[in-house]
Amino acid sequence: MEQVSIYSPAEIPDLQLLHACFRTRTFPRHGHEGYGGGVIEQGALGFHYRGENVVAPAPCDIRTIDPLVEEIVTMISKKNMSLIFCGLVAISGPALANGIQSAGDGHGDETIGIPGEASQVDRTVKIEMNDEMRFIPSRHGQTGRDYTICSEEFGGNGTRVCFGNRGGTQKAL
Amino acid sequence: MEHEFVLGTEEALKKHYELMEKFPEMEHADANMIRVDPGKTGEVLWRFTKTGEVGFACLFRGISMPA
Repeated sequence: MEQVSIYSPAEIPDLQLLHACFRTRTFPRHGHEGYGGGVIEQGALGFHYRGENVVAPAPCDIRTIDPLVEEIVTMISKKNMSLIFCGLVAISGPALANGIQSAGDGHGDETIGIPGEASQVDRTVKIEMNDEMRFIPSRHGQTGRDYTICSEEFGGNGTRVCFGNRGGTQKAL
Repeated sequence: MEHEFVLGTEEALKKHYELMEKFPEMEHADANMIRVDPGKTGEVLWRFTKTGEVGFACLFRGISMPA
């Protein structure tokens, strides 16, 4: 049974703790948003890291997380594998649970959805971005620039978001 | 220049934007985002599981991001 628990101790709210149990799970190339460390309680963890394939077997193998290095992780345990990680900022990349929160940090209870399947796509939205677009944050109740997708409109079985990079020109793609 | 399309809640996008400013070399390979070269297009396949508005942004090297 796969389980993922993410929580923060009341005494240290900025610290995020992850306790996960996986059986068969592969995470594609991803990075992390902060430094962290963890212990594999049982099972084994295989990963591609800094150009090398590494196996971190249990028990008590200690893993560190470097936010500037990407990795590919494969759970290779024949039995359930469990691990505990902690860090000042949680893991980014693919969701550890079924839902991905947003912006890649993969945690939290406000999910925006799950990766879609090409065979289930029933609607398409086109979005273009150019070099002139800039972040204008909303501050102190003021409304900033708003770039949003209405999920009611695109909330079918699957949405294909076609994203075009117009660069510095006004030429339509 | 390259642009990234990243789906996310406003709060999470802001949080990640701040991290990208600290770590501009950070790259991503997640299902909810894609990086596209100038003049090119890319695709994200997504299944929205909640109704409402979902934000998107380019967080690449702090270039741009919606509020």
